[in-house]
Amino acid sequence: MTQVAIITGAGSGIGFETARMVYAQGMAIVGVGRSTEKLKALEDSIADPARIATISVDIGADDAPKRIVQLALSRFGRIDFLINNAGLGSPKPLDETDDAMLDEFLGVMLRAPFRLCREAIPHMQAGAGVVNVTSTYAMIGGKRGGAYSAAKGGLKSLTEHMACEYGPRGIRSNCVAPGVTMTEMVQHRFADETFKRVNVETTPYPRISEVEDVAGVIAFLCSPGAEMINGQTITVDGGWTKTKYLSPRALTSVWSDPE
Amino acid sequence: MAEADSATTIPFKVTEPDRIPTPRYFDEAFYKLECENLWPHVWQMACRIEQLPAVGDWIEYSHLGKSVIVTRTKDGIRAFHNACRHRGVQLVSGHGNCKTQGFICPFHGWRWDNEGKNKFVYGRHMFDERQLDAGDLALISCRAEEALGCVFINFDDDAISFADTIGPVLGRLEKKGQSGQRAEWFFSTEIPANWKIAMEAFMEGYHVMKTHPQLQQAAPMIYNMMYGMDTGGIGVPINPNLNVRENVYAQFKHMELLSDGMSGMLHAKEVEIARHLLDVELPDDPQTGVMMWYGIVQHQITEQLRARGENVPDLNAVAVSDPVNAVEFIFPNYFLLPFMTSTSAYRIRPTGPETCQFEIWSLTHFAPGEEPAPIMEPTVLPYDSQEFPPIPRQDYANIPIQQKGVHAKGFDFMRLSKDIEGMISNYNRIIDGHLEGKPADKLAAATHSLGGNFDGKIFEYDF
Repeated sequence: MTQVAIITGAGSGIGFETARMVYAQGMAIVGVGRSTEKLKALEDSIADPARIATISVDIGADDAPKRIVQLALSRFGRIDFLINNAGLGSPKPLDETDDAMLDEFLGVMLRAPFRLCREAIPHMQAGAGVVNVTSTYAMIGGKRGGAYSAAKGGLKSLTEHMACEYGPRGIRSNCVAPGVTMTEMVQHRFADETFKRVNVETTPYPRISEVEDVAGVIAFLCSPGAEMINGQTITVDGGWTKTKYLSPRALTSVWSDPE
Repeated sequence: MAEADSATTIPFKVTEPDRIPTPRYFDEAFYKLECENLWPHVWQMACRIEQLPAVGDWIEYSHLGKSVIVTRTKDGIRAFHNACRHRGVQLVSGHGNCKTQGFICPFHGWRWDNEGKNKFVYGRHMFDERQLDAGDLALISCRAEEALGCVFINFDDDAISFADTIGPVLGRLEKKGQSGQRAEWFFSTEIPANWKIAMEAFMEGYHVMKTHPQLQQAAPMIYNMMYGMDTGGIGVPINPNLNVRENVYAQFKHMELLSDGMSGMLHAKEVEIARHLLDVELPDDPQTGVMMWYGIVQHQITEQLRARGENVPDLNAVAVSDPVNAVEFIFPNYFLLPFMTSTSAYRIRPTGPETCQFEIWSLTHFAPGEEPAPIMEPTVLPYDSQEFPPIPRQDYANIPIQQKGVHAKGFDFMRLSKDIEGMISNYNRIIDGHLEGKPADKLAAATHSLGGNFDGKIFEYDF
């Protein structure tokens, strides 16, 4: 049996790697993204036109869910997994967030996955599942989270509702919550020494997550081995949210007043 | 445009959207209204662009007594009203090239070049100067725009452009490669039916089960999915009692019948490519397998035809980026059945309240240098000719007897399905809008809604 997975934000980063991994698990892929060129790169990387279809679409557009689901059905006849991964970064604290930013963050990371789930769920059968990519910022309070934290927290609660609502039909819903991960979205911020030290020196593991680390967990949640996992969030952060780790270097550095 | 105060006076107006008054299909006064208020203001498919390959080439387009010369000038395609500026004799009929001689009036020999400029008046000295003003002597231009591999003309100088009239579906059809296709054959026939009856036979696929039973029987799942089973309920796109290979063979049989039945809408070259993919490796699940097979077929058609030099679109990509429906209508009287990389195109023109001229083109791509000679005139056949491909023959069998039936006592209106015969209602109400002289921008907005409306719902319009 060939299963079919829809992946949003598939043109780069975690989504791109996830598409490759679930394809390697034997699935047919519907890759959703904005950039035609990046989606073409994904198609070229998978190099199996019979098992990959892509759609360039604004995920927030009114007709996006219908077009995405119709593509999956018209090309592959079924939908087994929906991976809501598309996201935005660089949020601002609540008091610096204007309405446009609030709407954009909630639109892409809460409303769009909500609407895509609503469109896809009726076509899913027992054994199917949804994986929503949230964030460590949906697990604990984080500085400068603002609209990002609100959207990701909402997506986590939506996932838990879906686990309860559709679990009885054999459809599992889970979250993967990456911590700071070396994606294009985050990479440039590592040039900022403060950003880098804040993350590295609070992570009880000797490196920062790569996209493969996150994609691997998503792919696992879409595998038979994860059959009894429902309503969970698996954080992929080297232990950042579960510990109060501080590196000796940070602890022993000389105190300076915060800005 | 018609006078605005005629707004409430048109007879047999569609007042209940799902009921179409039958006199619209035979009443003389209604037909006259269409001739006066509809046809002079709409974009009409006048010719195929490939019919005018060289500068000086021209072809006549005539409709309801009005005639236009469509010609290729050094600056592109232009159209002129076909009448000598002297005493009105039609300058040309048929087709030809005017590069050396221009257009010469057969009455007194006055002559024009193909940019409409007068080049010769026999015995100029006998005419008053004001009769020979160069601007006034020039042939009268007619609006002409190129799209979809055709020239569309409009008798109304103030009409909204063709592209803005038809709307976004035009761009989608162009992405599907319409402009790159050329005619392989061209048939014409006179049918004893109102032009709208003939058009409406193509506005839904609901008729396939009874009118084209061979298609339904080859792959009933295709139609069950759209119109439901005869036992009730909507079916799935595959036959769950067959394995994946048997399902693929059924789909292929349907493709063959469609290709044979239309002689080209699904081109034989595409069927051959599909035939070689019947044994391709597929997943066991029939539903996934059949859909995946179509994806593979579309990919291979794209790749193999491109390898032959044909400039065809990427079928899988264009199905996502620019989806078009099984039939797309270019209001009022031209429509396309685009399938894979080829197309059947139809033009239906009234010749009277209860007769129409019905034309079909089969269009496909050719590698550069391998294009056939342009077809300048249709092969004219009686509508019941056995030379028509089987599928149009089946349609032609019903159209004339529907025309007879609409006259029956007590048959006051056609009753439409609100879900899948909406196009018929939408079309007729846009026609009413033209007959009543409603604002052009509102009519254009409504016309846009016809894109993708095949098998579609009834819409509300704000005019």
